[in-house]
Amino acid sequence: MIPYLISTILMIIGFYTIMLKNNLIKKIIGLNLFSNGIHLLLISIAYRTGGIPPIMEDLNFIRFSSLAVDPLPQALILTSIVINFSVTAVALSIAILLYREFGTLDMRKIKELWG
Amino acid sequence: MAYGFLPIGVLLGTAFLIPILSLKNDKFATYTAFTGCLAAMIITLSMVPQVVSEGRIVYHMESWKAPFGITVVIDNLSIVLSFLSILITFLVIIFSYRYVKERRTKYYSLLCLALVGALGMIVTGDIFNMFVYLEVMSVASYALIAFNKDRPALEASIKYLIMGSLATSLLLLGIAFLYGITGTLNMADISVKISSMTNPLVGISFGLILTGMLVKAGLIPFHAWLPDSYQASPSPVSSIFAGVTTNTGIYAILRVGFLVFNSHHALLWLMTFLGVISMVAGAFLALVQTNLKRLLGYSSISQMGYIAMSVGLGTSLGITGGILHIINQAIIKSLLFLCAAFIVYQTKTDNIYEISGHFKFQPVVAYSFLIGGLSLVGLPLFNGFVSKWLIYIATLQINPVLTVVALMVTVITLAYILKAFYLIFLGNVKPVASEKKIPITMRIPMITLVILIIILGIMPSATIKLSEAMTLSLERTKYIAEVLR
Repeated sequence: MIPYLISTILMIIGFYTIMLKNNLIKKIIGLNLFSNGIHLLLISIAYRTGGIPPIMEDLNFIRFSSLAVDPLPQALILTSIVINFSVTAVALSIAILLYREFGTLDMRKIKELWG
Repeated sequence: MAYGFLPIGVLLGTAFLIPILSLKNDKFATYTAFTGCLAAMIITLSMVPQVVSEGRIVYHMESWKAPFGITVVIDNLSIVLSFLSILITFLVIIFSYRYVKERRTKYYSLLCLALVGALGMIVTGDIFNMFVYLEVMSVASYALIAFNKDRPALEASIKYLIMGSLATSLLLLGIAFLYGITGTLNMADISVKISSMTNPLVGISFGLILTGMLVKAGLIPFHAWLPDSYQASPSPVSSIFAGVTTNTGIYAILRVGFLVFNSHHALLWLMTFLGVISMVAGAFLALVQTNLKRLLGYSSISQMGYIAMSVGLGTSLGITGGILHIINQAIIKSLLFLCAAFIVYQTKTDNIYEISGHFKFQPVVAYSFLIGGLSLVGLPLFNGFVSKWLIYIATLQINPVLTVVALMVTVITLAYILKAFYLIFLGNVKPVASEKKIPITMRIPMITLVILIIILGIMPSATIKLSEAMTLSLERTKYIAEVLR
């Protein structure tokens, strides 16, 4: 239960940061928190108390089927972490260029396209 | 055997080959992208006979059967949309040869990557793969919007980045819920498993996935990024956005909504509602714009509204009209954005009040713009007429009020197209218009698209038959039976 609770809290903090903070760097941190909350949720779907890796060492089918964890969510979040990493890299590089152009990272002042 | 994956593989290879091959001379970037795109187009065309005879080809990656392995599903709908996407990107690559003169390597690599994402979303049969391809497309788009590195470009890019990655995160959350309740990622398999469930998580995950897709499609409450990025990106890239990426969003809504969630009762209602709002508000907002590309961006929202409304009717005629309008508006909008790109290339401004009397210098561009615009309005003999006519009839069968709204929006469309045409091409010649000849590489894509518009417009029965075949491939039971065979 605790992982679900923590992932919900992480998502709420991330969403709050994206929506209500004006600093661009904080918004990017919020995006990361939000996605990491989702990753935690996805990995805790596959959690089993006393689980073993899904590798069959002996032909004990009963033990395997009752204890082996589902490996797929781990593969999914690894993919998602890599994607998230590249999005963050693009976001930070744009933030650097924005700071050079505008001299600020306050999203309230970066507002030229309007209407 | 994964022949269906080959166009994506070729383009992905091209995208990473471009930086290597253009180390000495960066013109090789254009040639490589051109060759890669041409190869992908030929491979896609070579699949057409089999798709026509069998209706749907299912490729299993490395022979892992359907619910376990990754499937690539190619049917009428996906093959037409992939061919259209590759064709538009191909024409834009030709157009960009003289338009983009510096940092060609990055430009063409990103263009190929965006196309890879779009194609992957169109052909995949696996919902997590759809998310990955969506992210590939989005990250390439974020970088392409910021390509000019000036103030509007950076601002538009960061806006789209924050909105877009929040949307894709919501999409991932929806997929996580679906995986949690079904334990599978294959769309056909999920569809079978959730059809007998009354779990509230099904509705929640549907809402999350739909939100993610709607942001990419640019319907109205989720549209804030669209006009900005169309205005600020390099002009040929706007053509790609209008012709490829927003269409992919609508395609994903159709596929996931009709297949996985079995036309969930909220889907049709929501699509009609958002469609009508986008249609009306997009057209009115386009009317007051002073920036040509922003005007066309709002017009794009309005056309997306037509598609969503028509699909949301839920009748087979409505879906046929909507799908035909996806194809038609992609062709028309790419043409109009290429015209806009040429005007920007020549006059270095995109404010429609600063350009005047352009007709004298560029009759070819003027006629292309006029044909594209009139086709967007829905005049007979052009392709826009066919799909809009289908949409009018489909709405008339369900609710005549929607027909009246659609006709009124058509009038507003005529108003903003004529406004832009009048201000840019007619009137007194202002000194800002320089007398540069149109390079042949820019003329060919425009003329190709004009010919396509006219051919599709004078053969309405063939195009309607095509889109009916595409509508049939959205049918759920047959898809599931063929994928899970």
